[in-house]
Amino acid sequence: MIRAERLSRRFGALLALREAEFHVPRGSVTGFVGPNGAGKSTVMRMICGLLKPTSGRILVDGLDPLLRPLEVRRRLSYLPGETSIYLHMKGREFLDFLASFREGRDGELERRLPRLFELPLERKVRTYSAGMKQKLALCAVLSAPVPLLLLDEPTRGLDATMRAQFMDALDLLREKGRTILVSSHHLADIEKVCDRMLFLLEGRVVPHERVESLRRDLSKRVRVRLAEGFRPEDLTLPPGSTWEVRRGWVHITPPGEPKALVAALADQPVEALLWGRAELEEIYRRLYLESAGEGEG
Amino acid sequence: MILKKTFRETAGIQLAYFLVLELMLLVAVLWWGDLRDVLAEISRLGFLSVLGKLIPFDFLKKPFLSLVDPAQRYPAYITLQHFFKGVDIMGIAGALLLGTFVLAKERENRTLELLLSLPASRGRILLEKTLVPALGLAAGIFLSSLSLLVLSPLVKETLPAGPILLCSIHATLVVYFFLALTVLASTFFRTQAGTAFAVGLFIATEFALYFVQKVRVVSFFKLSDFEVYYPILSGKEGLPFLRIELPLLAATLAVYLAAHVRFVRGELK
Repeated sequence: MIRAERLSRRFGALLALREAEFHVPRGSVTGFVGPNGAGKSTVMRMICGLLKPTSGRILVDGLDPLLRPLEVRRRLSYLPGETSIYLHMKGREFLDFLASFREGRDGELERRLPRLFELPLERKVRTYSAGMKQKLALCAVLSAPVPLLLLDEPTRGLDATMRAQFMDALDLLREKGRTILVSSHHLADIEKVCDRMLFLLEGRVVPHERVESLRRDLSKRVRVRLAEGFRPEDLTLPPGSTWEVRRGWVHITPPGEPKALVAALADQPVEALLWGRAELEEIYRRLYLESAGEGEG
Repeated sequence: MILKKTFRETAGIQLAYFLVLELMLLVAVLWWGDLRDVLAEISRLGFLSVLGKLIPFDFLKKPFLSLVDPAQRYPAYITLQHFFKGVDIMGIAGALLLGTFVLAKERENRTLELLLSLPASRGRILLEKTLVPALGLAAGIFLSSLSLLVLSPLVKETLPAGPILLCSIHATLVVYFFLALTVLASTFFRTQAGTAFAVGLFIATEFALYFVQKVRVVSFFKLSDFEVYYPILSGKEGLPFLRIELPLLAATLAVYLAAHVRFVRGELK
């Protein structure tokens, strides 16, 4: 659905995007992850044709947004990272306003999403809280009858309940076969809802192979919380294991498969033990540290 | 929908603009009765036309001499009060304010990015957002000017509709130039205040130039002063189409086109 080819973008002296290459398959829900300033919003704006690449190109459904902007924008609905809505309108009027630019409407989504987000559509937007405004913008963008949704920090300003509502909405849209590219700093939320991840660090897209290799490595790691009075040095670990302490947990990396380590820890002063698929936050942290030149190996 | 949205956003300002124009005109017309009597009394003394010839600046002398001439008084007075002071000054201020709503307000309120991501061409967005203030400004000028047909008999004066309409057309073109200029400025500046400041600076400079005798020929206000409006309103001349209207229209379209090109080809800033 989206393909970026050696995409670069310079803002004065700042190279915001460096020959980024990636693709977003049709029907996927792809998480776009990276620290502030990594270039996520820049990429999304390029997809909409709002910014031009300095070099390289991006294609949406095989179309260049700069050459065929209207055709591209007919295929997508975009929630900017920092957006606002027209305060003089009622909620319903705002939805109708955005829908008036589209050919056709998705009646089902237009009924279900406001209910899901619990929006008072007959009230003026100026009476909405910040979270309600964000939900209204989301509602308008998500209910568009288009194949591609671009959501830049959609959970900004949303509390935990609202974020859960948003996740439910994404599930609904996934069922409808929408292609979704979503960026967020709530990595745990992203992980729950996305089936693919794109890591953007310092303007570069981290290759999928590197992410998977890191995930495999981190998945071998076992995290334990020791009983009171015990120190990591008191543990008996398989030869070649390494460990580090972070936030009260001992992170142990065995040389081989972790099953033997888990078995060995069963009889030791361990209060709690975590083992399994590496979490997105951990992968993100490792990649971030690597890119910042402080990688742990 | 952009037309409707823009109209709702600016309806209050447009109405206020019309009401201020109308109120200023009403006060001016109602005061005319007293002023006419005073001017008639002074004219009897016979030295006013001599005094008028001593006035050094043409742009002061011509209005003065027209005001002391009984046959020319009322059109001269309305030219000064309504078209030069009211429509030009208020109209330009209105164009400046409404013009900042076209792009600068959207940008400042962070709604522009969402709007530009919708499947509507930028040219259409700009045109529809400019059309609403343009129509509102013209409506204010024409309605308030045509109300002279009703107000003038209150002070036992008459003005024919034709010259009033021609003056209104000219005033509308003047105001449109400043609207186009504000739209162009708003493609450069991120805020309404920045846009208004830039255009305001231009207007202030032009106005200052108008009062400097030797350079006033290059002031934009030379295109919309007493010497332009009065011959039309008094029925002595028609619309100076080739000398003023056509170049003014061309300049306005050129400025709008520049704004269009910058907006359509430019990036989101």
